[in-house]
Amino acid sequence: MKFADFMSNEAIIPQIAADEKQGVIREMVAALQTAGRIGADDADSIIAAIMKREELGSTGIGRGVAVPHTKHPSVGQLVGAVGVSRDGIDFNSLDGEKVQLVFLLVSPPDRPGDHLRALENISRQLRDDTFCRFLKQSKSADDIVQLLEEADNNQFAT
Amino acid sequence: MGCTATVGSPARLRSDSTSVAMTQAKATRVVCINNPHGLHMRPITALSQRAKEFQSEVTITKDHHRVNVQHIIDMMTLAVENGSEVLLEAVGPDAEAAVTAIAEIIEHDFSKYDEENIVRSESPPADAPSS
Repeated sequence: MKFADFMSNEAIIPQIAADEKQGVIREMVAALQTAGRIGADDADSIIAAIMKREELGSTGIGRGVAVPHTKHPSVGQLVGAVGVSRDGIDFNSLDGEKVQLVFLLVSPPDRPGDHLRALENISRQLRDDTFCRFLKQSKSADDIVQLLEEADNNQFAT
Repeated sequence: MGCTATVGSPARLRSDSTSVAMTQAKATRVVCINNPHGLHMRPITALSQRAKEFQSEVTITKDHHRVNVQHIIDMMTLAVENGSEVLLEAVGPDAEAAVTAIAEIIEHDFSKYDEENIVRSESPPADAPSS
């Protein structure tokens, strides 16, 4: 699976405004809503589900990365947003470090394989230090779109 | 168990999953991922944290792709789906205990890490099955 299969170019946030977990998740779900990838009536429910998942254990997995996610019946296919924080976000990460890169995923409950393959794609790229550094240094949504396209073309992780 | 329905025969699976080989502080075990959601982030995190309790290095291999169980991001690259067999290996002074502990989570404690139906479970019946 490639970024293009689930990341919405209209849901890319090069400079996350919020500085705490729930605000970040609200911001990114709102971006998915604006992009037309989720329904307006479903946003609050999706935010609540993602926060409930965070209560089970932070998705801040270390190396300045978080992957908040949920399975939600309102989506027919996997949708994703990506955001970058200059100052870092307190995400209660497992390594205690602030989070700068956030990949948010909402997937249909009956498509667990798609969810796993999206995680596989994200994590494979995140293992590449150059990809992470470029993403953190991105100044615009266009920069990030280009970076994700390059990742999809195997220009980073193998 | 679930693996027997999708991978191999019950007899072969039973044979694999109990074949711990100890050779100079090395232990291995083949286990099957028996969960509709596969090896997703919550069990990956649990396995990683458990592996850190041991001195031995524990790895998990799927389709010739081997990663350290302690490293969450590396574990996520495996994308292990329901019914997949994986090989656990540990090398170190407590290798057998480490492999046993990791296998225990996969074989017996996996369902408690499920996160599906979070939305639906907000409305009764709360004790509805998760699959």
